[in-house]
Amino acid sequence: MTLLRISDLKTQFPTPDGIVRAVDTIDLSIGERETLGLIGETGCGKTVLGLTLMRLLQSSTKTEGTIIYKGTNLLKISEAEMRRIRGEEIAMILQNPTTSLNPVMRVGGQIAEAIRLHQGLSKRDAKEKAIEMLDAVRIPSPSIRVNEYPHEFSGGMKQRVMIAMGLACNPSLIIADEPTKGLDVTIKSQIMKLLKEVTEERAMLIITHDLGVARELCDRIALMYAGELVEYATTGEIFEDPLHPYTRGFLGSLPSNGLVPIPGMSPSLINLPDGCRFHPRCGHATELCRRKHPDMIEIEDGHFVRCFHA
Amino acid sequence: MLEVLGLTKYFSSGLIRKRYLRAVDDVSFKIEKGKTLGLVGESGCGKTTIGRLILRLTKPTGGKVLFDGIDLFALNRRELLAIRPRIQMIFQDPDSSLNPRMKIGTSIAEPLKLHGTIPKAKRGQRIRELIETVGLNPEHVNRYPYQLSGGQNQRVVLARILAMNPDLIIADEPTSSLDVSVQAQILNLMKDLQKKFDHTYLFVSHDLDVVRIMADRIAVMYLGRLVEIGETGDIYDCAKHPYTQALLSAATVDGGKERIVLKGETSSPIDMPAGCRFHTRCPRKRERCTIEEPELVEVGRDHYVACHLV
Amino acid sequence: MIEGRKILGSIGLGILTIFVIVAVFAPYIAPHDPHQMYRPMEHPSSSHLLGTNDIGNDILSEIVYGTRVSLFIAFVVSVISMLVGTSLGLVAGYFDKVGFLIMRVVDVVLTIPRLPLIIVIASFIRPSIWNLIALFLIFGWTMPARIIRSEVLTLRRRYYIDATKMIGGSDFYILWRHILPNVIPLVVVQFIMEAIHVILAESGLCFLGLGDPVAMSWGMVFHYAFECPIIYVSDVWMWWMLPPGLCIVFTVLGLTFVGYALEETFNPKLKNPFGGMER
Ligand SMILES: Nc1ncnc2c1ncn2[C@@H]1O[C@H](COP(=O)(O)OP(=O)(O)OP(=O)(O)O)[C@@H](O)[C@H]1O
Ligand SMILES: Nc1ncnc2c1ncn2[C@@H]1O[C@H](COP(=O)(O)OP(=O)(O)OP(=O)(O)O)[C@@H](O)[C@H]1O
Ligand code: SF4
Ligand code: SF4
Ligand SMILES: [Mg+2]
Ligand SMILES: [Mg+2]
Repeated sequence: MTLLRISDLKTQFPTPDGIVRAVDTIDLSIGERETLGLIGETGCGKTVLGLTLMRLLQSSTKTEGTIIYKGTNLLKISEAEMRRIRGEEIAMILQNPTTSLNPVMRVGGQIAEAIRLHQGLSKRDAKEKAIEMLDAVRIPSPSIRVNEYPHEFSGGMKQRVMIAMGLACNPSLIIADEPTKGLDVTIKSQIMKLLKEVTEERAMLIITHDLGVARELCDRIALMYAGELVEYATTGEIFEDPLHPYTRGFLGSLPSNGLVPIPGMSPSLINLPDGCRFHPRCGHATELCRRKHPDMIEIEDGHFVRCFHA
Repeated sequence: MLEVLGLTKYFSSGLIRKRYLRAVDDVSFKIEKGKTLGLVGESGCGKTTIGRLILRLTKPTGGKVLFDGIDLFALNRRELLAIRPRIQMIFQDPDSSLNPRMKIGTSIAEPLKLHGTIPKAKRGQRIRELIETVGLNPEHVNRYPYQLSGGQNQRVVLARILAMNPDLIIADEPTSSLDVSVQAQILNLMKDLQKKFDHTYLFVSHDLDVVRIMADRIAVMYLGRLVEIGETGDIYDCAKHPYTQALLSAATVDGGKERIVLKGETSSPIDMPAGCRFHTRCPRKRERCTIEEPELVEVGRDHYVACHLV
Repeated sequence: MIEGRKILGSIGLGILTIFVIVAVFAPYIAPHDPHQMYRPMEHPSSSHLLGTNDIGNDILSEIVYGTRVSLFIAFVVSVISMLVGTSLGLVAGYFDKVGFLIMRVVDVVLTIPRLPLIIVIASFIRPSIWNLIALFLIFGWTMPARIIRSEVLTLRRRYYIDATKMIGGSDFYILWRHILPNVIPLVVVQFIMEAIHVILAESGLCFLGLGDPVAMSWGMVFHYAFECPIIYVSDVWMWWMLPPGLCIVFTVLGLTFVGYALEETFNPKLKNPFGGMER
């Protein structure tokens, strides 16, 4: 069963220097209990895609396409309905915990707020639940910590508070933007265990730079480059048999694989290169690549690639 | 270059019944000029606090920090202002280390302006160089931080710090919000700069692969205390402390060694266990461990461990 | 909703602009010298659009010049209050020890009931514009000081403040360059609230006869009209009392609309993903 189907989604920001095409014609779908990983270079549009799904971008943003969630197009419904969906149906764990937490509100209060808004629990019960959530994300002394302010938490602890907030309302779909950023290996493995349990009964879109996390948690993985998807397959195939030159380069720059970066710079999203967007950095680029923009093709069953020479 | 002696920080909270949170407890280490010390440890163990203490952004409870022979804690306001540019810290959360109402270009220009080392006419040129060095596009200069991705902001922060050309850089997870490819670029850049300018780094990271590549020596922390410190090779090949061993085994993906799974909860820095702080989770705990706190002892050349077993 | 705010804001801005133009160009706009005596108690006519008062002054001209006085008082008080309040709020939020002292003073001043005390003091001192202004200033700085301080307390925890310290920015530089711009929206809102307060309070004092008898503000026009017995038995109030009253109402309305519209502009870019309210 498909829970969320995105088709032809475009998100553009008008800026004085030109239009930033942050998300450019994306097609994706997520099944009811599926965990989908979204990987790609920094600035390629992953967070913007997540925020577009949540309709959390500023009003000057242009969005086109359709986002069908449980049969309704999220881009068409009213703000009031969207508010209900946010948190209750879809929750997003934001990337930047420090700026996303209210500095003058106690941590417990912020988690409880999310719970109370959607579940109508009493203040006391909501606080109990907040303590429970802090405990679930492995914060020591949770009953003391609920009464502290965000600046009293360490970076990784704030990150875990974000996770706690995202999970608090039992949503059907969680968009987790780098949920394990800033966590050490031991806590990371505990958090991954928690996320794994959580995803047994719901869908999740994980945006991450941590390929280990992606490998362990995701059923399928989509690679994004300069606003569009370039490869899309099951986790196993992405890691065992990557087809797109970008994917290969990406895996090659892991520290354990020798820390070899992909040459060149990511393109400007205002002046995208003609033809294949990756061609200025691609070792296999041909004349065709410079002229024509490749389409996503299904090379094997369920393995999609956007490259002429894959 | 940098010598930290008995550095201690307790955060107090609660007006009536004072509670102390022992964030950093009697930590000592040395970093030689042009070398890198990697600092690893569980989330919330006090790594960021050490960095902030060295910069005097947080008031210390006790201890001494000698930078180039100068006692940083004894400086008055003016002397501090004069020495600060030589010590820089890359904060953990890049989004909040930039002023949200300041354009990226202005932020990068700020250190140049404050120090006037470069004449006004040449500043634009220098800013363009910096932007290129960290792999940003010129179009980003006129944007505000919220208009950039997490990783792009991280690179802005880096550019700002490079503009200062400091002697000591405290890098608090400088690459945690970067993808592997850009991470590789930035790490290589940092290493090149170190060779060229003889920078000294205190490098905090959760990614043990990264630390291994970057650091000459490694310090491992647990709940506010150093538990092991030594040459990178020694730590990776013959770690002596049970926590270090667990940390390393959790990180090895290909399962060469047997994975040590830590049982039990992380203790809280608010009510610290008596004896060895690690005893609640230590797989090799003895009776003595619950009573007596182990001291750092030398076990090899420049290799110190705090554990009763060694 | 955003559109609605914009429209209201423009309306408010329009109203205020008209009043400001009237105030600035009063000598060109007023048909007569407000101190010139004509025949008293004339009804509106082509030469005196709003008639004349009991001593023969042209009422319209009085109101036009009154705009000057009323807006001048409100403007001067608000500007000085914001300057003083913001500076003290910045200092109080950034330096703990001085801040503690400043806040205790604020606490004391804020516990005093503002309007009653103003009335009491005003009835003892010689009524003049400058005395009124001084009186309003005693209280005007406290609210902005307190609000700005609490904002600074949270702002200074942001890492970019530490990051600026690190690159060698002095405390003054940080306050000026990094903290002040972030509190400006609050200052603007406080400015509007203070202006509304002063306009209303000044009219109230004048109405009670505690205004400056020589500086004809809207409140004073209103006051003299009220003191004249004829007002109760004829329809003179329609051109003598109503117009200054409406001026006061419209100024307050204009300010409120602008404030309401600005609130939207100043809101941060993102909404809260977990619930209804906006960050
Ligand atoms: N409000 C905005 N106005 C203009 N451009 C924007 C805005 N928000 C984001 N962008 C641009 O859109 C692109 C995509 O940003 P996004 O935050 O989605 O990146 P990301 O893939 O999440 O990267 P990271 O891994 O670094 O977080 C970036 O190049 C960024 O500069
Ligand atoms: N200003 C503060 N007030 C009170 N407690 C604080 C403050 N800053 C940090 N702490 C506490 O001190 C401890 C150490 O925090 P620190 O930020 O140094 O951890 P860290 O090692 O950097 O962790 P992470 O890897 O998660 O960033 C934590 O328990 C944290 O809650
Ligand atoms: S289409 Fe051409 S340029 Fe693009 S990735 Fe494939 S080979 Fe490289
Ligand atoms: S001192 Fe004891 S409890 Fe602590 S690490 Fe060593 S063996 Fe484990
Ligand atoms: Mg992102
Ligand atoms: Mg930290």
